[in-house]
Amino acid sequence: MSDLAVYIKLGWRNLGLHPLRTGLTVSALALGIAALAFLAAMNDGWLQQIKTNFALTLTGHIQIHAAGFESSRRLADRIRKPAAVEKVLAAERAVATWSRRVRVSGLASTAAGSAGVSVLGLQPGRERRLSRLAHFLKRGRWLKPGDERAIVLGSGLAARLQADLGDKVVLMAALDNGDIASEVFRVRGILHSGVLDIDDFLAAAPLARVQRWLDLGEGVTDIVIRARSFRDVDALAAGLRRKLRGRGLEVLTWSEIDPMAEQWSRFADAYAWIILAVVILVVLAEVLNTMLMSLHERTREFGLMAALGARPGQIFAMVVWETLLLVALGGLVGSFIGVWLAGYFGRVGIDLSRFAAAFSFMYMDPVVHPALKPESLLQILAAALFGSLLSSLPPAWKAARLDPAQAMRVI
Amino acid sequence: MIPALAWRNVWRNLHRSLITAAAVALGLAALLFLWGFNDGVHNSMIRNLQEVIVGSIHVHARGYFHHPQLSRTVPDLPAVLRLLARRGISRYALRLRTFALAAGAETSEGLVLLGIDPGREARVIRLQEKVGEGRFLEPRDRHACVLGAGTARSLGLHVGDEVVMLAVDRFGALAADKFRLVGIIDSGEMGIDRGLALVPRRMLASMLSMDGRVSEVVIRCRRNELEGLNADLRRRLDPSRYEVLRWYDMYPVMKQWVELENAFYYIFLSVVLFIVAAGIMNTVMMGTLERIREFGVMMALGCARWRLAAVVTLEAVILGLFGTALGTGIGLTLVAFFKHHGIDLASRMTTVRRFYIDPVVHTEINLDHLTLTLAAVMLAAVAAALVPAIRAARLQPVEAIRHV
Repeated sequence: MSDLAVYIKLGWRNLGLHPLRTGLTVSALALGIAALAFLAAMNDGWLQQIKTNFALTLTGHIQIHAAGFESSRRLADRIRKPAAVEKVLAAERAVATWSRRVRVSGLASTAAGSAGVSVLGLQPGRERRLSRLAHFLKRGRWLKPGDERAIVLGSGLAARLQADLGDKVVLMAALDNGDIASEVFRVRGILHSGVLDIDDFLAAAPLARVQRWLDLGEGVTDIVIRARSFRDVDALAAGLRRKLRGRGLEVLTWSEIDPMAEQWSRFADAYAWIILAVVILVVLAEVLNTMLMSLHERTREFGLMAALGARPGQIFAMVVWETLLLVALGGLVGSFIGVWLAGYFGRVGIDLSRFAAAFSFMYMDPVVHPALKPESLLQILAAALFGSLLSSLPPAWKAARLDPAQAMRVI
Repeated sequence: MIPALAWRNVWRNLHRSLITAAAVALGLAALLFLWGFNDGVHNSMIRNLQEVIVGSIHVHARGYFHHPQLSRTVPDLPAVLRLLARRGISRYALRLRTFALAAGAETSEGLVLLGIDPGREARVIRLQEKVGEGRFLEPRDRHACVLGAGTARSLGLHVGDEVVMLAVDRFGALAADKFRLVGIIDSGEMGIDRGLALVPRRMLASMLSMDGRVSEVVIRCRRNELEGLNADLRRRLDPSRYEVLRWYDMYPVMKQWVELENAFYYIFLSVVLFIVAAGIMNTVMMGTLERIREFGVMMALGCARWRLAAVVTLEAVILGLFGTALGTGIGLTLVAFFKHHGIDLASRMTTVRRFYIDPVVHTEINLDHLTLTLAAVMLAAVAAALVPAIRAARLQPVEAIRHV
């Protein structure tokens, strides 16, 4: 029998010899790993929800423009044949849906006053499936496919214009030849998102009417894409860039369009990482504690082994192998419980609105859905293994160097 | 006799006691640090929001916040100022606000024109630190103005240029005045970088024929004074003529965000607390496991079961107290250390400031979170001792003595 097999067998027997002690240590490990997995899942889920909400409030996951539009914002830089781009999108599996938009800044006026606006011409039905704009409607109704001169305003903008449902609003904007064109709309809805850029500036109108008003023909400034999953975004954008090369288009992801969002999410990740690191430390310390206690209690046993001729190296190896077995057991049970917990609460959700004033706006959802990333679980398991091995070294070292005569006297 | 026995037991096996107390201390210190981190981020967000421009409490004429019209000025300003003086409040500023059209060389833009007293304003807000180019208004300035970076860019204006402001005065007549652009603010905050112009209040008042009248009294106070001051002002100022608004009455998003994130954190930390409690229980269990023989001897010598349970519990309480004290010490030291030194999460990122987040986190802990955590850990330590105590009390003396 090889040495390895002996140690494993010995370790296994030792663990079986003291079921209560083994049970306690394994449960400490399992509990720690399960809790860490759950917390990591809660964190990942919450951050991903915020990022998704951020991306889908208005921006979408990916936008396609005519090359240069993002910086120039000129109507002249527009996609003249959106149908050709859409043919490519229809073939992509990772695309959930898309919508056409025209974006232009202009001036809105009513009898009471005027204000700068960002006009958004959109496809009402498709937009509802794409972004969360319709979901922020406070009063009135969302645009309908048949609407001609309907408009939905941000709440701050409506207040500045003193425009209420049914009121007339005149929009003015510059055409791509420099002429100014105006168009009359009637307020059908008012939305409040909690996001200043939207509430204070947004005026959403049906795409067809905006195209006619600005003399754009079929042209649009954006084709906005919602991906099936948040994780697909970067790969999808790279794929689209390849397939649309040479057509004078730019393909931008949400984080490229709003670098602030990207930086914020990196800040949030760093924040979460520090918190998880502290929690991992706590778990490891508790495991170390249990282990120290358990080995402390076995001083006599180690003394007896030494007296019977076990060499220090052998005792050391035995303790380390025992620890490995413990970690394997605890890790298995812990991952199982953690994955189950994350899965369960991922489906059911954790409702925070019971703890905080109920609301649903901006980028937050009051219901958190934990989502465990496999790499998070692997990191946790690796940390547990590393930490437990590390924590077994000092007691193992101590056990190996015991003076048999002294050790056996300890009760 | 029980306390003396428990006390001696704690000291008899110092190694074991230290491990148990360390389990409590470490868990508590980590929890306190985590709260310190969380509260540090939140409190700095709240402070930043107030310090950028909002202040802590506004006093307006009734209805002004929702319908800011020039005619709605603070009804009896001397009375309000007397009230503030009596409360010993010196950190306040007076502002006159109106809408105006700012005309640059080629284009014009609508904006909020805010008349301020540069000297007083510095006691309330720290907007002057956000000046990216040029300088902030100074007390001796007359026809000077400060614009947000976005507005300056879209008007094509640079420091030193002239801006014409058009606004409607008290009598409804159109008034225009020329101001020289002395500074450009780059705060990262949308509402300020776009659509805001600051001018000296005296100049604005004479331009609009509003001498001696103000639209808002802005007060800055500490967090723990906020509610008391607000209640006092509301009681003393006639609600049919005045409105008194806290920062979160005006801008509720931030407070709701903090509340939601705290709720998330409570769940998160209760899981951590659970781990800590389990760790303590484990350690105490292990400790009693190795003493089974000792308990057997005690019982054989006639120690009653309940006494044995009481001794074990009391030991845990002593260790719990000791661990809590140690943990509080370590935790608060950590919080104090990082309050001073800060944890750099993203100092290279400038745009997180748009959410009023400081990229360098300075930890601090709110008193309610501190006491709650202390109580929870103490409770967990005692609860964790109950199971081993019951187990010890139910031992059979003969078998226990034989236990190796």
